[in-house]
Amino acid sequence: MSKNILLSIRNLTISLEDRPNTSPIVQDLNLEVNEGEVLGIVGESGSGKSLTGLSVLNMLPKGVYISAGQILADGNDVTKSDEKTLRTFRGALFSIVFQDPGSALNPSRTIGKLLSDVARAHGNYSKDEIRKKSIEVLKDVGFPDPESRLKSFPFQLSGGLRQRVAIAMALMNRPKILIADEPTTSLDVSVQKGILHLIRTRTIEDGIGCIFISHDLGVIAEVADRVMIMYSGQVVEEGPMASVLTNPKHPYTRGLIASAPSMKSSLANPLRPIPGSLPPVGRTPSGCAFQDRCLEKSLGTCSTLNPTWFKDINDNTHRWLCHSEVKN
Amino acid sequence: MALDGVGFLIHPGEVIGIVGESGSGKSTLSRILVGIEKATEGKVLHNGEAVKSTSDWQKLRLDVQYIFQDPFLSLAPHMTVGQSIRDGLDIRGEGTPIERDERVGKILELVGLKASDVDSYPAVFSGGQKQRICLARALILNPKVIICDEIVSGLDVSVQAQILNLLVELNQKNGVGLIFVSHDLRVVKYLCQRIIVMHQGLIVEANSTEELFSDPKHEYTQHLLSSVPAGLSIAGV
Repeated sequence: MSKNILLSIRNLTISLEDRPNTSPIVQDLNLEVNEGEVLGIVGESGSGKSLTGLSVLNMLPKGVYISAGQILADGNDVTKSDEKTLRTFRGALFSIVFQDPGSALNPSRTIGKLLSDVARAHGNYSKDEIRKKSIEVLKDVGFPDPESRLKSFPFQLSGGLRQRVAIAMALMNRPKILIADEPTTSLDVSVQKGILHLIRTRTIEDGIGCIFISHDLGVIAEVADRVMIMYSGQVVEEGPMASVLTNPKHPYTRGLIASAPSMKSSLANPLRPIPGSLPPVGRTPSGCAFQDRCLEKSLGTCSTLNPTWFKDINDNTHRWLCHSEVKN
Repeated sequence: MALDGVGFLIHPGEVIGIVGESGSGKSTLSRILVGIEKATEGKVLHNGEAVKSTSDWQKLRLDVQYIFQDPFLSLAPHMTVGQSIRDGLDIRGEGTPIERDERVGKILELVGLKASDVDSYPAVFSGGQKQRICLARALILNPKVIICDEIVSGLDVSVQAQILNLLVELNQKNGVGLIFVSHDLRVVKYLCQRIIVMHQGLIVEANSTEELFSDPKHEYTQHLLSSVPAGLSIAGV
């Protein structure tokens, strides 16, 4: 297995600017993404998964900031780079694909113009070179008949094709790191399948390191090699996809799987929801973040002591943050 | 044409799913059922009789309630939860004011909220709780059928399961029929006894849930089923 690490995040903490007394919204997060690998991040709203993705591009929204940690993108520390350097990185070293291609694409520019904008931001190319590059990248993303569509506007395309254009823009300058933030959430299922396949193929064939963010564990299971489960700003479990799915350890992961409808769920085998609701942003309880909703809570320690990392005996890359080693 | 030659029946206490992708006409169909949109041709039958006049529609709406996808948009922000839920009773003039308040308290408990929540405003509730309030507002009028248009799509997975199980309970214990409109086959499979598959304004297949999933006949249904993310099927909990 190739182990060329493209992205490494160390002790990332993201905090709210004007509310210093609230808990961080992403807390002490560590991750690595290798070449040709898709890392899935699963979490519900407010878990910090999207902020983690945006922080890689150092593109956090106003009001939140990186208060600690290091983000190394192919050796460059993104948190220490100035805006000018970051501009040379964004769209070239790393790119991002967002949830809604309808609002991600400038409606007044044609597909050809959108792609040439991205290319010209990072190099001097002739018209012919750009046309050639555009057609090539559109073919890579499975866009049918790209030559004739360069003059189309986004509104003339279906949602699935628009998302392919957004992915083509992200891949135009052959980035090493791709952040895909819920790229299939606004798409129909039959279109979703194609996009998932596309992201996986491009990651492997182009040797990209990809972070795929989703609230849907079923989608992540289709696309990711490894998975991280986030809850209220913290990673609570991580490991190889199959290992986490077949042998989930953290009570939240178990709850998430038990409450997600799948093709085998039925009333005879009812969903088991997690009681309660997610803590509001910035109000993660001390001790374990999940204590108020945990069905396997042990008395006392969960609310007073910080949880610790446990490792799976069969695979020490599968680990989870808890107070008690899970029995089975 | 948004819909073409579409027809189906719902029996008391039944849970029917309408699935389809965006633009398939599933929402248009459900909106026609309560008269929010009017069909160019064809009719809605209520207890076997065609719904024509305004008073016919009013009678139909005594039996049918509708819940929308976005609970943030469907609750009036300046009304307390109690006022919103009571509104239907006030309009119909059912019972004395004290009786109405009692019913509001009971219905809030039925959907898993507290009777003391009546005086709170929608803003203090989470998405899942707001959807429970919308459900309470529909239920207080004792409908025979509730049309649910993508009502769990905007909710987090862990909360979505709470609402789905609440719907199952309401159906089984209170006998409320449901027309559940959704793009998510996994959810529809879980909840519904019968499923209608829509594609480009047509019903392409309708069958019992069991048969539809074990033996899909129409090409489009087969395509749809094969597109559902199957990764979770290896999960062991």
